[in-house]
Amino acid sequence: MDISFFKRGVKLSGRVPVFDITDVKAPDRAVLVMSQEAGIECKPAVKVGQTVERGAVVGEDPDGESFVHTPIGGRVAEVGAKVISPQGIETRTVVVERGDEKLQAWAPAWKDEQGDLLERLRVSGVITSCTQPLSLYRTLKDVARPRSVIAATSRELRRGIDHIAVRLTEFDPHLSALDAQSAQVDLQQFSDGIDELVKLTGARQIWLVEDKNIAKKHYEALEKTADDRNWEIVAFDSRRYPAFADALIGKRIIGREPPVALQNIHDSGVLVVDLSTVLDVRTALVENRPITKKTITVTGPRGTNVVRATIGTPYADILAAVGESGDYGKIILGGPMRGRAHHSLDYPLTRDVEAITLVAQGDVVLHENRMCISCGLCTMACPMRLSPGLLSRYCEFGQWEEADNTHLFNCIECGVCAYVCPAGRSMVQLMVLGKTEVSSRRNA
Amino acid sequence: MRDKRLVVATPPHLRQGRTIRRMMMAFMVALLPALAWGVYQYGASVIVLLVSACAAAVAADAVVSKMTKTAGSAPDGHAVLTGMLIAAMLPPAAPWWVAAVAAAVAIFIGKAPFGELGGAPIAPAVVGILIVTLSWPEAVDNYVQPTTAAEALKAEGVASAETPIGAVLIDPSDMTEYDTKELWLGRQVGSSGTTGPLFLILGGLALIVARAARWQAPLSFIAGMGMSAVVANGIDPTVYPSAEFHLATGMTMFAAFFLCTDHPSTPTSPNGLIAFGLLAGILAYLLRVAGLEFGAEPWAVAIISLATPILDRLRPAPFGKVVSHA
Ligand code: SF4
Ligand code: SF4
Repeated sequence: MDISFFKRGVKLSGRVPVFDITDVKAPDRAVLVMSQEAGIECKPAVKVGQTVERGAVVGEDPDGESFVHTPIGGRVAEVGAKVISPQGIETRTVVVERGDEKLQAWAPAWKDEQGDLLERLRVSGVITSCTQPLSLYRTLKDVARPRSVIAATSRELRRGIDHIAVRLTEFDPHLSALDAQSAQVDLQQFSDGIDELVKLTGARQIWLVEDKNIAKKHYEALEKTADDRNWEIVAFDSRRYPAFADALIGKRIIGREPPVALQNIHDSGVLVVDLSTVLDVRTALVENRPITKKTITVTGPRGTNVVRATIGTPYADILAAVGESGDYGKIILGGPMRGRAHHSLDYPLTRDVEAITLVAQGDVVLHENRMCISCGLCTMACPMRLSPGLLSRYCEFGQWEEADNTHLFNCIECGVCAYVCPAGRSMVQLMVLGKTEVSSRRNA
Repeated sequence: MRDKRLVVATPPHLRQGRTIRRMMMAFMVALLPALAWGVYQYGASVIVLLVSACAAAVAADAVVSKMTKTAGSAPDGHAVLTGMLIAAMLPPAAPWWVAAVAAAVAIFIGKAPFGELGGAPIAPAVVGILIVTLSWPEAVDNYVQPTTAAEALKAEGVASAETPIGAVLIDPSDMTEYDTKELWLGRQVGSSGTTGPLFLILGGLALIVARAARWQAPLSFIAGMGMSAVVANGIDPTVYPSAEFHLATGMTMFAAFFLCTDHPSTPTSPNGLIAFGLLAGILAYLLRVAGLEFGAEPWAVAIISLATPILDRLRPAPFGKVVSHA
């Protein structure tokens, strides 16, 4: 395959990879936000004073596609306090206080293996951090169910995924959590996770996608397993951002261009997941446990750390564990290229967050948001071959239909256009605004 | 930590560091070699034009910014750049007030009605030049031999010189008198800042390397002009000068690198830019042949600029299959 085709995007400086993982102690008081995936709001499923076992469901969305589980067993101390999510949406929390040892065993619902794989995936809270963090169940629900059964052989016919690409590095080259995880991954667990994914999707070929900038020795063990199991290995340059966008990975390994807009992976046949999703799939489907931990990159004035923390841990505790403290001017939930700046450190870890990036008071740069001068730098850089300048003007002036017709929904919100823009425009904000407006009109 | 004032912003939180100001600075610097050549050739008159055009542009911009209560474009350098472009396009013996009027017109009529930088459908400098050309044709048709410029400042009615294009238009056989090597080196009669093709190419290439401008429009402008000249020259070489003659004279290189690279008035997509350059180059050639001695290139660029919204439809096909939502 042509590995060098990707000339768009931008060159970033990248990170010094970190391979150690710091464990952060599970909190005694877990604050569980009811919106753990963008755009999905769960309803609290417990009452104040109720006793819950570890892993019990404390929130569920009305469509039954997203669940919030408590990472510690104990007493529900608070339900319904309002917080503002990084997306700027008001959501609620459920607070669980740690109870006695007995309650720390996993809730019974998780002990008996019931229901088919997809059903168990549904209630487990596995997410895949592609363009947008999205529950793996929602990504797979349409493709993983057999479409029909061939009568003579009773073989299930699946239309859908034939390739799975496993990203061993981060979408944003400033982050390092996946480097650390892939350097010390338990190979058996990883293989088991892959097996479950193959069962779920019927994929025929597995690809491991490495970062060229990481020393080969960190991938050695994985490569050996790949060899034994006939998985393919490819390596791209993560600094040519966004080389690790799902659609681009699919294009580069098998040359198919999917209709990105609808995330219709069955039309391209490539499912892109990252290594932590593979491990989560194993946890959910082999160990029958919900996902309550998350490995993230923490970057602050003191340097970069990778931490494994429990969902529901306040950020202040996570920062304390790596010795970060001080006067921050900006707290970004996510990496510098795609994360959202949050207004407070008084917020807990959610499963859709891949990093925390802290900017010291004095280092905050404000960008002027001026009129587009049509310089076309964004047009040359957009990995999706869009005309971001034009799109941003449509969104700025409320021309939603024109924006939609100019392929607004093919935008993957990578931020490359804003990165290069000399007018300092808030491109991604405009794209997101446009998408929200267009979708609400479409649904109306 | 709770009550700290934190900045909330949307991604990306890193930027490449390009700003409009730096982009405009790049254009100014790129224009300097050609202007310096003009000063060397024509002396103080070029400086007078430069100063009056830039001062008028900045003053006009200050008035506009006061009236509209906006920051104006003085801080980002666009007003000064407009003044420089106007001075470069005027003949060295043009009166100083023509430069000032052109610059003021550029800002008041070419820019202000369209709001902030980015709205103008035709580059303001081009608007300024074209309007003074229409209003005082005799003032801009005022070419002098390089060495007579200093006297032109003092004396009225200096015997004017012919530009190469003007000379060939009147008598095609004149083209044999010009040594193209001399023309490339800038030893020719012309406007203040446009007579040094090599200096303009040097500045233009620097702009492209610095990514302040893109290569598509300049190169296709040159190609459009050159190909038209090759065709005409092939039909009748005694009437139509060679492509090299056309490329080295008049404002060809200036228009290619400094007018076709005005971002707001040109398309954004690569194919749109190529179409823009080709059309403007061909039109500029036709205007020259039709007898327009001064301003064929700005006229051509201005006219094709009006087609920019249409040319901008030549967008790249988006990544992936196009999804239609019925
Ligand atoms: S338009 Fe969307 S996909 Fe294109 S560069 Fe901008 S954010 Fe990325
Ligand atoms: S980079 Fe910025 S100014 Fe240039 S065309 Fe794109 S949006 Fe407009």
